[in-house]
Amino acid sequence: MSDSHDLIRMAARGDRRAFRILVDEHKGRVFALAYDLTGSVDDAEDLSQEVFLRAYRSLGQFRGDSAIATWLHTITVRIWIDMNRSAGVRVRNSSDPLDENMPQESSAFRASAADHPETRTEGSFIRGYVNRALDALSPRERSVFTLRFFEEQKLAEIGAVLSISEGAVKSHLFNAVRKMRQELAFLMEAL
Amino acid sequence: MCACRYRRSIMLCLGRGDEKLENNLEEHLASCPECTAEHKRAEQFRTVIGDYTRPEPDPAAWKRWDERLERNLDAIDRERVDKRRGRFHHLWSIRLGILSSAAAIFLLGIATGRLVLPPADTVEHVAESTPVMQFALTGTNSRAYIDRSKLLILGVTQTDPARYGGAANSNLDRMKRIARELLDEAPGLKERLADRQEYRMYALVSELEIILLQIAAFDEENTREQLELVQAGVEHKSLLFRINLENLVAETQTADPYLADTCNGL
Repeated sequence: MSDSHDLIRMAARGDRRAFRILVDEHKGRVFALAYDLTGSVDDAEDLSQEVFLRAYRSLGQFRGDSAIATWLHTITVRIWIDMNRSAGVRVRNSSDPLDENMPQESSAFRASAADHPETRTEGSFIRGYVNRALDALSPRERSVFTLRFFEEQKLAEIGAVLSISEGAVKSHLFNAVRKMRQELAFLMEAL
Repeated sequence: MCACRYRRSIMLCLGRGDEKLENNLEEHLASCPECTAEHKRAEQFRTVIGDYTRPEPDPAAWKRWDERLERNLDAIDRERVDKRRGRFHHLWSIRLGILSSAAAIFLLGIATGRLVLPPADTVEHVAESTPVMQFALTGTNSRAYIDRSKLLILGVTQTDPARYGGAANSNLDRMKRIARELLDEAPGLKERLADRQEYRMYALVSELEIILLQIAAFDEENTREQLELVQAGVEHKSLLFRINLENLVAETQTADPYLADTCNGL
Protein backbone atom coordinates (compact mmCIF):
# COMPACT_ATOMS: atom_id res chain seq x y z
CA MET A 1 0.00 0.00 0.00
CA SER A 2 1.42 3.38 -1.02
CA ASP A 3 2.04 6.35 1.24
CA SER A 4 -0.76 8.20 -0.52
CA HIS A 5 -3.22 5.49 0.40
CA ASP A 6 -2.03 5.68 4.00
CA LEU A 7 -2.57 9.41 3.89
CA ILE A 8 -6.09 8.87 2.56
CA ARG A 9 -6.83 6.49 5.41
CA MET A 10 -5.47 8.94 7.97
CA ALA A 11 -7.44 11.78 6.41
CA ALA A 12 -10.58 9.67 6.40
CA ARG A 13 -10.12 9.27 10.17
CA GLY A 14 -10.15 13.05 10.48
CA ASP A 15 -6.46 13.92 10.16
CA ARG A 16 -6.55 17.29 8.40
CA ARG A 17 -2.73 17.45 8.11
CA ALA A 18 -2.72 14.21 6.10
CA PHE A 19 -5.32 15.67 3.78
CA ARG A 20 -3.27 18.86 3.41
CA ILE A 21 -0.29 16.79 2.29
CA LEU A 22 -2.47 15.11 -0.35
CA VAL A 23 -3.78 18.46 -1.50
CA ASP A 24 -0.28 19.92 -1.83
CA GLU A 25 0.79 16.86 -3.78
CA HIS A 26 -2.06 16.94 -6.29
CA LYS A 27 -3.44 20.47 -6.47
CA GLY A 28 -1.20 21.48 -9.38
CA ARG A 29 -2.39 18.67 -11.64
CA VAL A 30 -6.00 19.06 -10.59
CA PHE A 31 -5.87 22.77 -11.30
CA ALA A 32 -4.26 22.12 -14.69
CA LEU A 33 -6.95 19.65 -15.67
CA ALA A 34 -9.62 22.02 -14.38
CA TYR A 35 -8.16 24.76 -16.53
CA ASP A 36 -8.02 22.49 -19.59
CA LEU A 37 -11.67 21.65 -19.10
CA THR A 38 -12.97 25.09 -18.31
CA GLY A 39 -10.55 27.27 -20.23
CA SER A 40 -10.83 29.85 -17.48
CA VAL A 41 -8.56 30.60 -14.55
CA ASP A 42 -11.46 31.58 -12.33
CA ASP A 43 -13.51 28.53 -13.19
CA ALA A 44 -10.45 26.32 -12.81
CA GLU A 45 -9.92 27.74 -9.33
CA ASP A 46 -13.54 27.11 -8.38
CA LEU A 47 -13.54 23.67 -9.94
CA SER A 48 -10.28 22.62 -8.27
CA GLN A 49 -11.58 23.84 -4.91
CA GLU A 50 -14.79 21.88 -5.39
CA VAL A 51 -12.80 18.77 -6.35
CA PHE A 52 -10.86 18.76 -3.08
CA LEU A 53 -13.96 19.55 -1.04
CA ARG A 54 -15.82 16.67 -2.71
CA ALA A 55 -12.79 14.43 -2.11
CA TYR A 56 -12.69 15.50 1.55
CA ARG A 57 -16.35 14.64 1.98
CA SER A 58 -15.95 11.22 0.32
CA LEU A 59 -12.59 10.11 1.70
CA GLY A 60 -14.26 7.11 3.28
CA GLN A 61 -15.55 5.95 -0.10
CA PHE A 62 -12.09 5.76 -1.71
CA ARG A 63 -11.47 2.02 -2.04
CA GLY A 64 -7.87 2.29 -3.20
CA ASP A 65 -8.49 0.43 -6.46
CA SER A 66 -7.02 3.25 -8.50
CA ALA A 67 -4.29 5.82 -8.06
CA ILE A 68 -5.26 8.90 -6.12
CA ALA A 69 -4.48 11.07 -9.12
CA THR A 70 -6.94 9.03 -11.20
CA TRP A 71 -9.55 9.32 -8.45
CA LEU A 72 -9.10 13.10 -8.34
CA HIS A 73 -9.23 13.31 -12.15
CA THR A 74 -12.45 11.34 -12.10
CA ILE A 75 -13.95 13.73 -9.58
CA THR A 76 -12.79 16.73 -11.60
CA VAL A 77 -14.25 15.52 -14.88
CA ARG A 78 -17.52 14.41 -13.33
CA ILE A 79 -18.08 17.68 -11.51
CA TRP A 80 -17.35 19.58 -14.70
CA ILE A 81 -19.72 17.43 -16.76
CA ASP A 82 -22.40 17.79 -14.08
CA MET A 83 -21.95 21.56 -14.07
CA ASN A 84 -22.44 21.59 -17.84
CA ARG A 85 -25.39 19.27 -17.64
CA SER A 86 -27.20 21.41 -15.09
CA ALA A 87 -29.89 23.47 -16.74
CA GLY A 88 -28.83 26.99 -17.47
CA VAL A 89 -25.31 26.49 -16.22
CA ARG A 90 -22.60 27.12 -18.72
CA VAL A 91 -19.03 26.99 -17.55
CA ARG A 92 -17.41 30.24 -18.48
CA ASN A 93 -14.54 30.03 -20.91
CA SER A 94 -11.68 32.32 -21.76
CA SER A 95 -13.64 34.09 -24.45
CA ASP A 96 -16.59 34.87 -22.19
CA PRO A 97 -16.81 38.16 -20.36
CA LEU A 98 -16.00 37.94 -16.68
CA ASP A 99 -18.89 36.94 -14.53
CA GLU A 100 -19.65 39.68 -12.05
CA ASN A 101 -21.46 37.24 -9.79
CA MET A 102 -18.35 35.22 -9.09
CA PRO A 103 -17.01 35.56 -5.55
CA GLN A 104 -14.27 38.10 -5.13
CA GLU A 105 -11.83 35.51 -3.88
CA SER A 106 -11.88 33.68 -7.21
CA SER A 107 -9.99 36.52 -8.79
CA ALA A 108 -6.81 35.38 -7.02
CA PHE A 109 -5.60 33.20 -9.85
CA ARG A 110 -6.81 35.54 -12.58
CA ALA A 111 -4.70 38.39 -11.26
CA SER A 112 -1.81 36.01 -10.84
CA ALA A 113 -2.14 34.63 -14.36
CA ALA A 114 -2.52 38.08 -15.87
CA ASP A 115 0.70 39.19 -14.23
CA HIS A 116 2.56 36.11 -15.36
CA PRO A 117 5.01 36.74 -18.23
CA GLU A 118 3.56 33.68 -19.99
CA THR A 119 0.29 35.50 -20.51
CA ARG A 120 1.96 38.03 -22.73
CA THR A 121 3.86 35.51 -24.94
CA GLU A 122 3.06 33.36 -27.94
CA GLY A 123 2.02 30.61 -25.50
CA SER A 124 -0.94 32.64 -24.31
CA PHE A 125 -1.83 33.46 -27.92
CA ILE A 126 -2.01 29.78 -28.87
CA ARG A 127 -3.75 28.97 -25.59
CA GLY A 128 -6.52 31.39 -26.48
CA TYR A 129 -7.10 29.75 -29.86
CA VAL A 130 -6.94 26.22 -28.45
CA ASN A 131 -9.40 27.19 -25.74
CA ARG A 132 -11.80 28.60 -28.29
CA ALA A 133 -11.43 25.43 -30.35
CA LEU A 134 -12.11 23.34 -27.27
CA ASP A 135 -15.32 25.30 -26.76
CA ALA A 136 -16.59 23.72 -29.97
CA LEU A 137 -16.50 20.28 -28.34
CA SER A 138 -19.18 18.68 -26.26
CA PRO A 139 -18.31 18.25 -22.55
CA ARG A 140 -17.58 14.58 -23.04
CA GLU A 141 -15.49 15.15 -26.16
CA ARG A 142 -13.57 17.88 -24.38
CA SER A 143 -12.98 15.61 -21.40
CA VAL A 144 -11.69 12.80 -23.62
CA PHE A 145 -9.52 15.15 -25.67
CA THR A 146 -8.06 16.84 -22.59
CA LEU A 147 -7.27 13.59 -20.83
CA ARG A 148 -5.73 12.14 -23.97
CA PHE A 149 -3.65 15.06 -25.24
CA PHE A 150 -2.95 17.18 -22.16
CA GLU A 151 -2.94 14.53 -19.44
CA GLU A 152 -1.57 11.85 -21.79
CA GLN A 153 -3.78 9.11 -20.39
CA LYS A 154 -4.39 5.77 -22.08
CA LEU A 155 -7.75 5.08 -23.67
CA ALA A 156 -8.60 2.52 -20.97
CA GLU A 157 -7.81 5.03 -18.21
CA ILE A 158 -10.01 7.63 -19.85
CA GLY A 159 -12.78 5.09 -20.09
CA ALA A 160 -12.45 4.38 -16.37
CA VAL A 161 -12.55 8.08 -15.49
CA LEU A 162 -15.67 8.68 -17.58
CA SER A 163 -17.23 5.29 -16.90
CA ILE A 164 -17.52 4.53 -20.61
CA SER A 165 -16.12 1.78 -22.83
CA GLU A 166 -12.86 2.06 -24.68
CA GLY A 167 -14.77 2.02 -27.94
CA ALA A 168 -16.83 4.99 -26.81
CA VAL A 169 -13.62 6.79 -25.83
CA LYS A 170 -12.25 6.22 -29.34
CA SER A 171 -15.43 7.50 -30.90
CA HIS A 172 -15.45 10.68 -28.78
CA LEU A 173 -11.76 11.17 -29.40
CA PHE A 174 -12.12 10.81 -33.17
CA ASN A 175 -14.90 13.39 -33.27
CA ALA A 176 -12.99 15.71 -30.96
CA VAL A 177 -9.81 15.57 -33.05
CA ARG A 178 -11.79 16.13 -36.25
CA LYS A 179 -13.46 19.23 -34.82
CA MET A 180 -10.26 20.55 -33.30
CA ARG A 181 -8.42 20.19 -36.59
CA GLN A 182 -11.15 22.12 -38.33
CA GLU A 183 -11.04 24.86 -35.69
CA LEU A 184 -7.24 25.08 -35.71
CA ALA A 185 -6.75 24.56 -39.45
CA PHE A 186 -5.52 28.11 -39.97
CA LEU A 187 -2.82 27.63 -37.32
CA MET A 188 -1.74 24.35 -38.87
CA GLU A 189 -1.51 26.05 -42.28
CA ALA A 190 0.72 28.70 -40.84
CA LEU A 191 3.25 26.13 -39.66
CA MET B 1 -9.05 7.55 -50.38
CA CYS B 2 -7.32 5.16 -48.03
CA ALA B 3 -9.84 3.45 -45.81
CA CYS B 4 -7.32 1.33 -43.97
CA ARG B 5 -7.25 1.06 -40.20
CA TYR B 6 -4.15 3.22 -39.97
CA ARG B 7 -5.92 6.41 -40.93
CA ARG B 8 -8.05 6.38 -37.81
CA SER B 9 -5.16 5.09 -35.76
CA ILE B 10 -2.99 7.99 -36.86
CA MET B 11 -5.46 10.40 -35.30
CA LEU B 12 -6.02 8.41 -32.17
CA CYS B 13 -2.39 7.76 -31.29
CA LEU B 14 -1.34 11.35 -31.36
CA GLY B 15 -1.14 11.45 -27.62
CA ARG B 16 0.74 8.91 -25.63
CA GLY B 17 1.81 6.09 -27.94
CA ASP B 18 -0.37 3.05 -28.19
CA GLU B 19 1.97 0.20 -29.04
CA LYS B 20 -0.73 -1.87 -30.71
CA LEU B 21 -1.64 0.97 -33.02
CA GLU B 22 1.89 2.13 -33.75
CA ASN B 23 3.19 -1.30 -34.75
CA ASN B 24 4.17 -1.37 -38.39
CA LEU B 25 2.92 2.20 -38.87
CA GLU B 26 6.23 3.40 -40.29
CA GLU B 27 6.23 0.53 -42.78
CA HIS B 28 2.65 1.35 -43.84
CA LEU B 29 3.37 5.05 -44.22
CA ALA B 30 6.15 4.28 -46.68
CA SER B 31 3.70 2.49 -48.94
CA CYS B 32 0.59 4.69 -48.52
CA PRO B 33 0.72 8.31 -49.70
CA GLU B 34 -2.75 9.13 -48.31
CA CYS B 35 -1.84 7.99 -44.82
CA THR B 36 1.46 9.84 -45.14
CA ALA B 37 -0.42 13.06 -45.88
CA GLU B 38 -2.75 12.35 -42.98
CA HIS B 39 0.21 11.70 -40.74
CA LYS B 40 1.75 15.01 -41.77
CA ARG B 41 -1.44 16.87 -40.87
CA ALA B 42 -1.56 15.00 -37.57
CA GLU B 43 2.00 16.06 -36.82
CA GLN B 44 1.06 19.67 -37.52
CA PHE B 45 -1.89 19.33 -35.20
CA ARG B 46 0.34 17.85 -32.51
CA THR B 47 2.71 20.78 -32.88
CA VAL B 48 -0.13 23.25 -32.36
CA ILE B 49 -1.46 21.34 -29.35
CA GLY B 50 2.10 20.98 -28.08
CA ASP B 51 2.41 24.76 -27.97
CA TYR B 52 -0.59 24.93 -25.71
CA THR B 53 0.45 25.96 -22.23
CA ARG B 54 -1.50 26.51 -19.04
CA PRO B 55 -1.24 29.57 -16.87
CA GLU B 56 0.83 28.92 -13.79
CA PRO B 57 -0.38 30.72 -10.70
CA ASP B 58 2.35 32.24 -8.55
CA PRO B 59 2.97 31.14 -4.93
CA ALA B 60 0.94 34.05 -3.54
CA ALA B 61 -2.07 32.96 -5.60
CA TRP B 62 -1.62 29.38 -4.37
CA LYS B 63 -1.46 30.70 -0.82
CA ARG B 64 -4.80 32.41 -1.27
CA TRP B 65 -6.17 29.22 -2.87
CA ASP B 66 -4.95 27.24 0.16
CA GLU B 67 -6.56 29.70 2.57
CA ARG B 68 -9.84 29.45 0.71
CA LEU B 69 -9.70 25.67 0.81
CA GLU B 70 -8.95 25.73 4.54
CA ARG B 71 -11.97 27.94 5.16
CA ASN B 72 -14.17 25.60 3.15
CA LEU B 73 -12.78 22.53 4.93
CA ASP B 74 -13.44 24.23 8.29
CA ALA B 75 -17.01 24.82 7.16
CA ILE B 76 -17.39 21.13 6.26
CA ASP B 77 -15.98 20.08 9.65
CA ARG B 78 -18.37 22.44 11.44
CA GLU B 79 -21.24 21.09 9.35
CA ARG B 80 -20.27 17.53 10.31
CA VAL B 81 -20.11 18.42 14.00
CA ASP B 82 -23.49 20.17 13.78
CA LYS B 83 -24.97 17.20 11.94
CA ARG B 84 -23.58 14.78 14.53
CA ARG B 85 -24.91 16.99 17.32
CA GLY B 86 -28.24 17.27 15.54
CA ARG B 87 -28.40 13.51 15.14
CA PHE B 88 -27.61 13.09 18.85
CA HIS B 89 -30.36 15.55 19.80
CA HIS B 90 -32.72 13.91 17.34
CA LEU B 91 -32.08 10.49 18.89
CA TRP B 92 -32.63 11.83 22.38
CA SER B 93 -35.80 13.62 21.38
CA ILE B 94 -37.07 10.31 19.93
CA ARG B 95 -36.17 8.48 23.14
CA LEU B 96 -37.81 11.14 25.28
CA GLY B 97 -40.87 10.98 23.06
CA ILE B 98 -41.09 7.21 23.49
CA LEU B 99 -40.64 7.49 27.28
CA SER B 100 -43.28 10.23 27.51
CA SER B 101 -45.69 8.18 25.41
CA ALA B 102 -45.08 5.10 27.56
CA ALA B 103 -45.66 7.11 30.75
CA ALA B 104 -48.81 8.64 29.28
CA ILE B 105 -50.15 5.22 28.25
CA PHE B 106 -49.33 3.86 31.73
CA LEU B 107 -51.16 6.70 33.47
CA LEU B 108 -54.05 6.41 31.05
CA GLY B 109 -54.24 2.70 31.85
CA ILE B 110 -54.42 3.43 35.58
CA ALA B 111 -57.08 6.09 35.06
CA THR B 112 -59.13 3.82 32.80
CA GLY B 113 -58.82 0.98 35.28
CA ARG B 114 -60.09 3.18 38.08
CA LEU B 115 -62.98 4.39 35.98
CA VAL B 116 -64.02 1.08 34.47
CA LEU B 117 -63.20 -1.50 37.16
CA PRO B 118 -65.12 -1.48 40.49
CA PRO B 119 -63.14 -0.73 43.67
CA ALA B 120 -61.89 -3.83 45.43
CA ASP B 121 -63.25 -2.91 48.83
CA THR B 122 -64.25 -6.32 50.06
CA VAL B 123 -63.49 -9.92 49.34
CA GLU B 124 -67.12 -10.56 48.59
CA HIS B 125 -67.18 -7.81 46.02
CA VAL B 126 -64.21 -9.26 44.24
CA ALA B 127 -65.76 -12.69 44.44
CA GLU B 128 -68.85 -11.38 42.74
CA SER B 129 -66.91 -9.52 40.09
CA THR B 130 -65.09 -12.45 38.53
CA PRO B 131 -66.20 -16.06 38.15
CA VAL B 132 -62.70 -17.38 38.78
CA MET B 133 -62.38 -15.47 42.06
CA GLN B 134 -65.90 -16.51 42.98
CA PHE B 135 -64.97 -20.16 42.47
CA ALA B 136 -61.77 -19.82 44.46
CA LEU B 137 -63.49 -18.13 47.36
CA THR B 138 -66.48 -20.46 47.62
CA GLY B 139 -64.56 -23.00 49.73
CA THR B 140 -63.33 -20.32 52.09
CA ASN B 141 -66.82 -18.76 52.37
CA SER B 142 -68.57 -22.08 53.05
CA ARG B 143 -66.11 -22.93 55.84
CA ALA B 144 -66.53 -19.48 57.33
CA TYR B 145 -70.28 -19.87 57.05
CA ILE B 146 -70.43 -23.18 58.90
CA ASP B 147 -67.94 -21.91 61.52
CA ARG B 148 -70.17 -18.93 62.22
CA SER B 149 -73.22 -21.24 62.25
CA LYS B 150 -71.42 -23.62 64.60
CA LEU B 151 -70.66 -20.79 67.05
CA LEU B 152 -74.27 -19.68 66.93
CA ILE B 153 -75.59 -23.22 67.45
CA LEU B 154 -73.14 -23.83 70.28
CA GLY B 155 -74.41 -20.63 71.86
CA VAL B 156 -78.00 -21.80 71.49
CA THR B 157 -77.43 -25.39 72.63
CA GLN B 158 -75.46 -24.37 75.69
CA THR B 159 -78.07 -21.93 76.81
CA ASP B 160 -80.17 -23.07 79.68
CA PRO B 161 -83.86 -22.79 78.64
CA ALA B 162 -84.76 -22.38 82.30
CA ARG B 163 -83.08 -18.94 82.40
CA TYR B 164 -85.41 -17.51 79.74
CA GLY B 165 -88.79 -16.78 81.02
CA GLY B 166 -90.19 -14.02 78.86
CA ALA B 167 -87.81 -11.22 79.89
CA ALA B 168 -85.96 -9.50 77.08
CA ASN B 169 -82.40 -10.67 76.65
CA SER B 170 -79.61 -9.03 74.73
CA ASN B 171 -78.01 -12.40 73.91
CA LEU B 172 -81.20 -13.50 72.26
CA ASP B 173 -81.29 -10.42 70.05
CA ARG B 174 -77.69 -10.94 69.01
CA MET B 175 -78.41 -14.61 68.14
CA LYS B 176 -81.40 -13.60 66.06
CA ARG B 177 -79.39 -10.95 64.22
CA ILE B 178 -76.57 -13.39 63.40
CA ALA B 179 -79.11 -16.02 62.32
CA ARG B 180 -80.71 -13.50 59.92
CA GLU B 181 -77.35 -12.55 58.47
CA LEU B 182 -76.50 -16.20 57.89
CA LEU B 183 -79.89 -16.78 56.32
CA ASP B 184 -79.28 -13.90 53.93
CA GLU B 185 -75.99 -15.44 52.82
CA ALA B 186 -77.34 -18.96 52.51
CA PRO B 187 -78.97 -18.77 49.01
CA GLY B 188 -75.81 -17.38 47.35
CA LEU B 189 -73.60 -19.91 49.05
CA LYS B 190 -75.91 -22.78 48.12
CA GLU B 191 -75.87 -21.64 44.51
CA ARG B 192 -72.08 -21.67 44.42
CA LEU B 193 -71.93 -25.04 46.16
CA ALA B 194 -74.35 -26.45 43.61
CA ASP B 195 -72.15 -25.13 40.82
CA ARG B 196 -69.16 -26.87 42.40
CA GLN B 197 -71.20 -30.01 42.96
CA GLU B 198 -70.45 -30.03 46.70
CA TYR B 199 -73.69 -31.69 47.56
CA ARG B 200 -72.80 -32.77 51.10
CA MET B 201 -71.98 -29.23 52.09
CA TYR B 202 -75.07 -28.07 50.21
CA ALA B 203 -77.23 -30.41 52.31
CA LEU B 204 -75.57 -29.25 55.51
CA VAL B 205 -76.18 -25.58 54.68
CA SER B 206 -79.83 -26.42 53.84
CA GLU B 207 -80.37 -28.06 57.21
CA LEU B 208 -78.57 -25.21 58.96
CA GLU B 209 -81.00 -22.88 57.21
CA ILE B 210 -83.94 -24.58 59.02
CA ILE B 211 -82.28 -24.24 62.43
CA LEU B 212 -81.33 -20.63 61.62
CA LEU B 213 -84.92 -19.89 60.65
CA GLN B 214 -86.02 -21.21 63.98
CA ILE B 215 -83.46 -19.07 65.82
CA ALA B 216 -84.36 -15.97 63.75
CA ALA B 217 -88.00 -16.54 64.70
CA PHE B 218 -87.38 -16.56 68.46
CA ASP B 219 -89.85 -14.41 70.33
CA GLU B 220 -89.70 -13.27 73.91
CA GLU B 221 -92.78 -15.07 75.04
CA ASN B 222 -91.96 -18.64 73.96
CA THR B 223 -88.23 -18.54 74.25
CA ARG B 224 -87.89 -21.58 76.45
CA GLU B 225 -89.88 -23.87 74.13
CA GLN B 226 -88.19 -22.53 71.08
CA LEU B 227 -84.74 -23.09 72.60
CA GLU B 228 -85.64 -26.65 73.44
CA LEU B 229 -86.96 -27.22 69.95
CA VAL B 230 -83.75 -25.94 68.35
CA GLN B 231 -81.57 -27.96 70.72
CA ALA B 232 -83.54 -31.07 69.89
CA GLY B 233 -83.27 -30.40 66.16
CA VAL B 234 -79.50 -29.88 66.34
CA GLU B 235 -79.05 -33.05 68.22
CA HIS B 236 -81.41 -35.01 66.05
CA LYS B 237 -79.66 -33.98 62.84
CA SER B 238 -76.19 -34.34 64.40
CA LEU B 239 -75.41 -30.88 63.04
CA LEU B 240 -72.43 -30.18 65.27
CA PHE B 241 -70.87 -33.51 64.39
CA ARG B 242 -71.34 -32.87 60.69
CA ILE B 243 -69.91 -29.41 61.00
CA ASN B 244 -66.85 -30.82 62.77
CA LEU B 245 -66.54 -33.46 60.09
CA GLU B 246 -66.60 -30.83 57.31
CA ASN B 247 -63.93 -28.87 59.13
CA LEU B 248 -61.83 -31.99 59.43
CA VAL B 249 -62.18 -32.70 55.71
CA ALA B 250 -61.25 -29.13 54.85
CA GLU B 251 -58.15 -29.25 57.04
CA THR B 252 -57.15 -32.62 55.64
CA GLN B 253 -57.54 -31.39 52.05
CA THR B 254 -54.95 -28.73 52.78
CA ALA B 255 -52.58 -31.16 54.49
CA ASP B 256 -53.03 -34.52 52.68
CA PRO B 257 -55.11 -34.91 49.50
CA TYR B 258 -55.11 -38.73 49.83
CA LEU B 259 -56.60 -38.62 53.32
CA ALA B 260 -59.11 -36.04 52.11
CA ASP B 261 -60.30 -38.48 49.45
CA THR B 262 -60.73 -41.09 52.15
CA CYS B 263 -62.73 -38.65 54.31
CA ASN B 264 -64.87 -37.66 51.33
CA GLY B 265 -65.66 -41.30 50.83
CA LEU B 266 -67.10 -41.56 54.33
